Amino acid sequence: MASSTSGSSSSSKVVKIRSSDNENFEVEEAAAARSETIKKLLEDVGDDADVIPLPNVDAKTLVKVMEWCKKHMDDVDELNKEEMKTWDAEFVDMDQSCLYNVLLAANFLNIKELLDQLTQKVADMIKGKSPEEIRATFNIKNDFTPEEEAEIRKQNAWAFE
Amino acid sequence: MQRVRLSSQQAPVHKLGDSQMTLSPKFRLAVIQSSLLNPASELELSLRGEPLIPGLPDDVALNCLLRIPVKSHGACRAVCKRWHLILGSKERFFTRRRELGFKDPWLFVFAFHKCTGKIQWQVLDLTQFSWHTIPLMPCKDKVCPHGFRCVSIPHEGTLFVCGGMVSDVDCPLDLVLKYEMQKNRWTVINKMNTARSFFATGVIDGMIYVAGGNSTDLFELDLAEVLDPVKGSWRPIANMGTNMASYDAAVLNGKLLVTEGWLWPFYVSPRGQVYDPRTDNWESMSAGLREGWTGSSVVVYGHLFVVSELERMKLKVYDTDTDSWEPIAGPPLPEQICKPFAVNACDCRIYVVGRNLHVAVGYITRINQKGTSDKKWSFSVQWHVIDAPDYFSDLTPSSSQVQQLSSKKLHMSGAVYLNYSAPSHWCRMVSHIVVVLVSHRLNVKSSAMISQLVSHHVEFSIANSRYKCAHLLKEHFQQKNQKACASERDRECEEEDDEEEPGGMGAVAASVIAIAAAVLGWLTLEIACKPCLEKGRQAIDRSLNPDYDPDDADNISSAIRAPLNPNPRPDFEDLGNDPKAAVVSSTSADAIKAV
Repeated sequence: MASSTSGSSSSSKVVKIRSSDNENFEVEEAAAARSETIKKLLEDVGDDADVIPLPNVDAKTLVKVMEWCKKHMDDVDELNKEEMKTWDAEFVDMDQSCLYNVLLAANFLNIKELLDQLTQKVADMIKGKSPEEIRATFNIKNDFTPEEEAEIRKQNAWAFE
Repeated sequence: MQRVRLSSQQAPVHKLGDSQMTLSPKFRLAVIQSSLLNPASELELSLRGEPLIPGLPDDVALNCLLRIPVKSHGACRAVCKRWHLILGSKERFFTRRRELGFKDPWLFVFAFHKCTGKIQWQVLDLTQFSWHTIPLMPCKDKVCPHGFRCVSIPHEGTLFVCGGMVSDVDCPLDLVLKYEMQKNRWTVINKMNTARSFFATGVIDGMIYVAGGNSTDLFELDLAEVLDPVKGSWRPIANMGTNMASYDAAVLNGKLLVTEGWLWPFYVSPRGQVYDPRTDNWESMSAGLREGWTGSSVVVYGHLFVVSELERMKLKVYDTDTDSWEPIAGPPLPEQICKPFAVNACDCRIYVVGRNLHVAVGYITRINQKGTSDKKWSFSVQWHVIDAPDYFSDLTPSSSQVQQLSSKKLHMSGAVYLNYSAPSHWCRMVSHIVVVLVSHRLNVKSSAMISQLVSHHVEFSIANSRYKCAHLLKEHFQQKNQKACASERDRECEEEDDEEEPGGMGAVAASVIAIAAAVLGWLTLEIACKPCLEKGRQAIDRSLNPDYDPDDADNISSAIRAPLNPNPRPDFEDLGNDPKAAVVSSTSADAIKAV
């Protein structure tokens, strides 16, 4: 059950985290510390930490998040930036429920860069769509009265933007 | 009388079609004021639990929505009521972006028409890469598109255009114009003591320095002066020690570097002077620096870079230790960018605007040279070109400035109380705070892992709700100020003044709310922390008692120091200013008319 994501390098410290469905993971500390939440916890508890429970992140999502953290563990130099961009683009290309889960996890774990990428992905999904398509994609209820909707359509017809 | 007659004569001829409606700002304002954009309903909708995006918490969803490019707003605001509120007005959209710490840099380009010489400012939104215009500068004379100098105060959204020349007659100007992004307007401010053109400028510690240049009789000046933008007054500083016009200038390590630049036929090495405002003293520039300064300079990472005046050249950087210039790694300036260049920088990016307003963005990266001792950096650049639309093909840039309004950080400890005043939320909030305080107090180590987690969790939810509260509170203010602002914006179409009025109202509202929040906050603390506060008071009473011997004290001082005083007042005063800024400011986006 313990799927270890840590590398074989002996020097890096490993932290244990537990997902909501009670799976344990071992992650390099440098990768886990991309999460401000885990970082703060580690600072608070120090070395005697046993396992860090993450009560609202399931194993599947956690694997995804840690995959990202591991990739972004070190500061990228300029040469690898393009490569990293492609990797990130592929990473955020996932189905919507998975995207939501990772987004929620990134929010809870407070990983700003990942959160930025994922929210940007959602924005990209929104842009260029018609209102009907957006409502269908995101399951949003149309709460306008017909009069209000007519008013908005009129406004849009005028909009210069 | 005449005007009335005129318009009544025209009425039957002109049919009021849609195209005219859109052009009438008053008509548009009336639309914006419709019930759909009433901020109060945002509060209502969010309390009713209508999520922005089902499946995502509102703060995350808001983060997504604020990333939608402006050109998609039309479709998005027709999705549902809450989306309409967020995306319905550009003003509010950009205010919120600012609150959430999005950086919205704008590149202001001073350009002129190749043939007519007509001057205009074009503004590039560096987030969405769309072009906008701003109002024309209020100049009586026909000004030459060269010779003036343009500076901006970083992060304040103000731009100053100083001096210059009347075209055709070589007559320098003492005119100073100020542009404020937040108000999207120009004002004429106090003149310089000396009229000048082709001079040096630089901003050091928020003060604007000007030096040298050409004078009225075409002699070169050695006079220098400084503007305090807050007071708006110019005062002379030490003379340069040499009479010279300036080709380029830069501020490096708190000093103003001024170079004359190479002059045809390049027989004599260019002169250069360096001003130190701390000592009010000019020194001559080192030979390597002035001789290698062959283009427009920018300062990035505390280093001086020069974009050579020739096309397809590599960027070079000045090394203070060796007094020499080195080309940096990376490709030369892209070939689409043709002379003349207007160069500016922001953070670690260099913006080079070329003919027809094509823009090259250079991302500078620095690498610590290994092997060498301490602070030896090597730099490299990656270029990215933003092609300008075709209708800019007659425009030539003359100067450029990057502006970025800094977002005021919102610390909303007071607002949390206020917005959770609905009873159920209120109770939950109190319990949250108690949990946080308790866990802080226990100073838990590994054994109390769980309670740590709980407390973190709570802190998150507080942090998240802080964002939300910030908005709600702001909406509240906007609602209060709406009337004042609407009438003000109305007026602004004709003549802007009385900007202070809504601010005054905001201040009154803010102080009332601040007091209310203080009282509520205090009550919470009283209820939540009764025992420890009581202990604290006892301790104070005791220490005021002359018979009391501190040596007998059981050590409760740590309890008295309780981290409980939220002291919401300062935060609120800060916020009190903010709604005004939010209403008036909201960046130029709304006011800037889309091209």
